[in-house]
Amino acid sequence: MKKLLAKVVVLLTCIALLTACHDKGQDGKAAQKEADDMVTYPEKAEMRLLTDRPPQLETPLTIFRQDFTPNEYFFVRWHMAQLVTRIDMDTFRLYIGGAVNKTLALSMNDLKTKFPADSIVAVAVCAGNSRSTFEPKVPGSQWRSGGMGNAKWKGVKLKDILAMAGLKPGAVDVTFQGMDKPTLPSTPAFIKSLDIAHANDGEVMIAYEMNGAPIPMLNGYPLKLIVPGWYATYWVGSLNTINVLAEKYTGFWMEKAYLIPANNGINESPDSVANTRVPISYIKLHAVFVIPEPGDTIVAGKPCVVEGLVFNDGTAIQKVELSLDNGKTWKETTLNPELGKYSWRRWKYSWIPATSGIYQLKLKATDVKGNTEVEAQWNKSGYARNFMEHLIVEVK
Amino acid sequence: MSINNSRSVFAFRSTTIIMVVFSAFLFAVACKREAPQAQPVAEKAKGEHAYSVKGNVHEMSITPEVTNFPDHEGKSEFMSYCAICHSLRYISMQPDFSKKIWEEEVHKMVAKYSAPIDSATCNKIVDYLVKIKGA
Repeated sequence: MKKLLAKVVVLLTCIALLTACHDKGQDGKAAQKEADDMVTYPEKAEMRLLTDRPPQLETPLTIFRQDFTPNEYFFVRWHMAQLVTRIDMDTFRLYIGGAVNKTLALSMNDLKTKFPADSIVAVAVCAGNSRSTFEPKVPGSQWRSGGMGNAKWKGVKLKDILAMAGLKPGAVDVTFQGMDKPTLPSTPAFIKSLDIAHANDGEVMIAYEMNGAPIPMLNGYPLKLIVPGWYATYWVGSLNTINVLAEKYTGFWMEKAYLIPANNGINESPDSVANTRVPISYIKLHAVFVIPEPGDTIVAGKPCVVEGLVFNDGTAIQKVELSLDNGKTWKETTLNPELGKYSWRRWKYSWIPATSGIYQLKLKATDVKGNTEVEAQWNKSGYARNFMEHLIVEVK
Repeated sequence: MSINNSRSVFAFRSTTIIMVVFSAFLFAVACKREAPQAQPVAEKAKGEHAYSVKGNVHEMSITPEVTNFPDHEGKSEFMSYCAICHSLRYISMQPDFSKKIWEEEVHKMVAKYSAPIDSATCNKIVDYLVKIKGA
């Protein structure tokens, strides 16, 4: 009798744990649209307010129906409370110094006239995008999937600027710093670094235009570092200082912050966090739903478009599969043509739900190298989501 | 001309009435929704923002919202120290967390971002956070 009781207790505990570990909304109820605080900040349209000092604004999901994210809807994320609130372009200069033969102070006019213009389509994805979906919850900005945006960037190849300055032999790292500052002088300034080979790869760019217009101040006017295929933490805004180092950079924002477990899945558990951590880098493969949105009405027997986006480090996408039965069976979606190696890519599926009821939709992306999305993933910072998106919808 | 004027005044009035009624409705809905939670974030004042370009000078200003927090021991320490580097919305936006996680977060602010908070004050702030956002 006691044995039976113990078995029942174990079984019930397992069920309770399993239920608790599931995604939000996995209690079998359709996802609902949540009430948000919306704000309209300078040069921006109405966006979801995460924080205001320093500002973090999330792009509404509906905007992702467009292939290029309009500048006024592009997500905003700053680390330092002392934003740049006044810029005089007559005196603004981009400084290049350190282990170079000639230090440079380039005006916007210099950038536009002394270098060939370059352009690239690239998706910026916040390291903590979709953090709100990690279970158990982790501290940090509770982004849904709106901490990302796709844009056509125009500017100057970093390689060309470094060539004009002339690298001294033994250059190892290049650091990037914007004009924003911490409130306390003792707080580490926001400085990111790339190794010299990456900085010189001909893809990393100093952008002065975004979707054919100047970059909004809240997105980093006048200059923003574009690091295609890498998380947006490297895309330093209001950039004015580039420093070439003859040794490895060991500043706070590379050695202490934005670190991930040093394993391929960027995975750990709350009970045993990874001992070895490394700086975050490449964008992990992930597909998101754009249509339907939580709370949308879907009618049985009528065609319903299911649509979304997929993005990664620039490796070509092989397929995005959609499950309408919580992962039991999978259907291949149609991929729109590529907009560029580092752009996100749209997928679509035409669905005619036969009967009413609750449907558990799931997404699984795969790239041509065979990388795929995983069932479950967790890390204490909520970085680099690579687990499948799950959307519960009600068909009426 | 005079007809046009009176029409526009009328239009203004009806818009105002609709806005007032709608705001009252939104407020009522918001109150109803907030009621069961009772804990953090009571009221918010909408901030003022501005942007201008004069010649080659670009300027903007953002006024953060005012967020009210419940009264408990440690509130004044929480409000003055945490707001040095970031607005208190950084806390009101967070899910509920265990005391262990709040301790880690406050410790991180001191150890990593050099927030000038002594350990006794840290404890008070942690206790306050657990009261308003404890899990």
